[in-house]
Amino acid sequence: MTLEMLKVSGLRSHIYTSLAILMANPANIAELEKPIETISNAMNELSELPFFRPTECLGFLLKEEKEDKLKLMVEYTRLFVTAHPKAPCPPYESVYESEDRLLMRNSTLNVLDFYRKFGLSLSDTFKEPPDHIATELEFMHFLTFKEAEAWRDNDKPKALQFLRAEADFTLNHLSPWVPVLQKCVENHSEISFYRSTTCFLREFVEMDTSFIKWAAKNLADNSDST
Amino acid sequence: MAAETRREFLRTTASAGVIGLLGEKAVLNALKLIPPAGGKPEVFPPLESYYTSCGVCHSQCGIRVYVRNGIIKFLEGNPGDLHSGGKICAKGIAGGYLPYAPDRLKYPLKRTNPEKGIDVDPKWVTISWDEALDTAAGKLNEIKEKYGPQSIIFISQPTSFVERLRKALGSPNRITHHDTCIITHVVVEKFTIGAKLWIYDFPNSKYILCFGWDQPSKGKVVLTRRFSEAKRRGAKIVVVNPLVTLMSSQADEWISIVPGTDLAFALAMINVILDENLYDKDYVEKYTNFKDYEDEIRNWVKDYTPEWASSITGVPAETIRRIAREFATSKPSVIPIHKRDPPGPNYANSWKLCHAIIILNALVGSIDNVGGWLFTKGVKIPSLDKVFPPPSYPEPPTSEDICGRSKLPLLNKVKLGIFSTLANNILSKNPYEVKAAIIYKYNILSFPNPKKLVEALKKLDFIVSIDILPSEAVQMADIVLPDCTYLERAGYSVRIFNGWYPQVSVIQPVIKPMFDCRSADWIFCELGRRLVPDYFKKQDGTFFTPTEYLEAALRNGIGLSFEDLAQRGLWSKPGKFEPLMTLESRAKAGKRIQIYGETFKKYGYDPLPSWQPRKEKPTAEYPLYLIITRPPVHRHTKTTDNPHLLELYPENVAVIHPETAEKFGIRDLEEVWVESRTGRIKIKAKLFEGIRKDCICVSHGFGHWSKGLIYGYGRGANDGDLIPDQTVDEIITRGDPTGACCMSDVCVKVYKA
Repeated sequence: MTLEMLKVSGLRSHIYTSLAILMANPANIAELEKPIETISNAMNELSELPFFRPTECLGFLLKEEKEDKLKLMVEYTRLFVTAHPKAPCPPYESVYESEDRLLMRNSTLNVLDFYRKFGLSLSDTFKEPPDHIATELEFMHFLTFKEAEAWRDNDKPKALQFLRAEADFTLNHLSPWVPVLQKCVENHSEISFYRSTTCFLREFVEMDTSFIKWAAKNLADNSDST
Repeated sequence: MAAETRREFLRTTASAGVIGLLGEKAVLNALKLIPPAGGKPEVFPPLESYYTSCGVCHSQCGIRVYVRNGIIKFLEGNPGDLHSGGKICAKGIAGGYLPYAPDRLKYPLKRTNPEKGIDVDPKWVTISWDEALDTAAGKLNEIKEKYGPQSIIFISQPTSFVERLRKALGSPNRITHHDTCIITHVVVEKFTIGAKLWIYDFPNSKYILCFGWDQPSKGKVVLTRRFSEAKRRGAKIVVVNPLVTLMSSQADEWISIVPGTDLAFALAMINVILDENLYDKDYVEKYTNFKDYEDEIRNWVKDYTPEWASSITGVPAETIRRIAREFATSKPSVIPIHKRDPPGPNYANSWKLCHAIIILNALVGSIDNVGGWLFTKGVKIPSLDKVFPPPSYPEPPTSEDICGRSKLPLLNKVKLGIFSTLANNILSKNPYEVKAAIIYKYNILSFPNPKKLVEALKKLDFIVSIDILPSEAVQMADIVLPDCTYLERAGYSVRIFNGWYPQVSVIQPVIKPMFDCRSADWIFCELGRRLVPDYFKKQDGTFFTPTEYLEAALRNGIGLSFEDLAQRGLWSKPGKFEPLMTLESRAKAGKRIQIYGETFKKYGYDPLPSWQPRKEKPTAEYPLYLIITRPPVHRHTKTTDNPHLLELYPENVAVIHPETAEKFGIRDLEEVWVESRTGRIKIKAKLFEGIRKDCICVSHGFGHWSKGLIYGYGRGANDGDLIPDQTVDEIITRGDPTGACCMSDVCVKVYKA
């Protein structure tokens, strides 16, 4: 079980970091095919588990042809940054927290507290608030990675600690918010790339949340089954 | 921020086994590990507080901002500040929202749609600062080489960094807003009193007469708090205004007047005061040139009787006579003026009203006197040119500027500019063709007839916009550079509006700039380094930075480092006001208040403010006077995208008297068209008994058409669409030395929408 969990958490970690890259501004990303390829491979392996089924949206994402970079940048700017009319889907959790659509509200502080608890702060080069979708996804990448490390070290209590943190973070932040963001992108995107990406994002967060819930419960209950 | 194949988290933790298993992976690097030396990460950081200055309006009141987790929680006034005195207005409190506005500009943007105009999507794409600055500098340089530096115009607040770039490029085109704001005051005060005066000793005034002066209704803390003290101490307040405002409600007497005829009222007051010898003889003889021109002055004013004025103003002659007597005998008395009141650039005769008010204040001895109108005690902070002297600036290829300021000699002597002629002159290529514009801190909606300016800007090859929000100016730009808010930048503020004694208030970044925003000073330095590098260097040949300037300027000016000033919030040199001291020393130097405008005469202008009617009068087609005012909780177009302030004042309306409304078949809150010869706006009518029946009043600041503004877009209407722009020849023919825009000199009609 330990070895398996090490692999599973490692693969999930791969998917989270790839999604973080896909949800960041493409102006700063060298190759977008790579994270898609990583997701594809990781999902292939993960699909052995009942929680991670290859879905329709994954199919859409994999079919995304190499999109013209400028077109992608214009669309990212229009959807998420600045647009005329207004950018319809600001990628910040706090914007969806209330009807006022403000930045740096409670959810921002909550995720910042999360990061701090785990010894992290925002990097100086990534100029976005703590609750940018890419930052939150990268945090999940961190937690899953630390979980993998713990499994590698046969430190089950520590692994479960990270698993619980993943549950806490995703249930309070990603799970409630990602579907709203995805709906927004589905309604407003003019090209398929971000529709496919957020569609898979929503599905993966759903699948992973079910997995985390299961794992946190069952692994804790069967503490001697490793 | 690039997604490099790095392993930030792995680096501190990984063993070969795990890397082997997980493989090489790309990480965005949005997060980083807090170095172990930093100790235990603080989950609940304490509330920190920083002194700084508000940046919503030019008062720049001293404030204290409370920050937790690097996020602004709330702010309050700084009690030691001469401006705020610890108080702060609604606009100031709501200013804490600005850094977090979801629609604020976040990264440099490049336009990918060459088509420009209202409702055209620029199809933005975010680009790096290097690409943005290189593109902007490259394009500006190309235009300068091909068409000459005069083809580049600066529609910018003239900060010292902006001016360094403009002068180094050799462009004569400094386009500023003053003809829509304060130009009459500055020019007339400069050439009669000798300086622009900002301070009123209201607490010691016994009689305050306001010709449309309405600052408390505009929420200007700096003027309101001292005015309130006068009120508490029992000063008599008289308000002359066609509209009942908050000020009128505080007044002992409200006098309704035909808009744009205050000059007749003021002339009749001068007539009564001189006729009845109610003026302060000692003061007038000592500090003004009255004695030298007494015959001319008495002869000039003799026909301006209260009866004559009554026929123009609609105010009973007896009222004018009584007010003149009260004003002259209830000393200390004062007539305050500030920005867009009737002596501001509102009417064709505003500059003369300004002169007449100066004469009235001089006749009762209120200038530089207890309870009166005082000279500012400023602080000399060395300018950028003093701290880092530039090589000599190149001579612009022509001394003519695109606004025609150079044709108005007195205006040309003060460093202020004109908005109203720009669109016409760009479109008619008069005196030459403009190819590029740098727009900073100004918005298109603030111009008279802004739609014409949009057409003019469409003719340009290249526009750079430096802004905080996606304003209308941004929508016309090719390159957009995101500016910091005042809560994210460093600087200082000199207390000119209430400079009782020299005081400096710090401006410090209370939070790190959000997103990838940079301060405008930094932006202009970067453009300068690329375009005219020699002008942005220190003597040792290395480039200077805004921080270096700030540090040197403060050390030389007030002997404090920036850090020291930031700690203290304020630097002050308290002193007592000595009545008449400035006038005394000026008189010794042979400089007296020019009741008779010798300078005006020298330049061919009217030396005494003889009666001149307003430009537009009601006609059968346009039967109503337009009055424009500003809401107390908004600062022009700048705050009408702020949801907190919009909650208090969501949109502007057309205020109209119920009887007039009935005449035109208009009901309360019904949508109407208000139309002038320039344009028309669709707006809700609001019926109100406190306005003259021949007037309609619209508040300024609304009518955003930039769809990038998530709260401001589509609210209310822009009064500017009703205001005509003008040509320099019109200004010259009118005999106005100031270049006033005549913002309210407009008549309109109203009809159901």
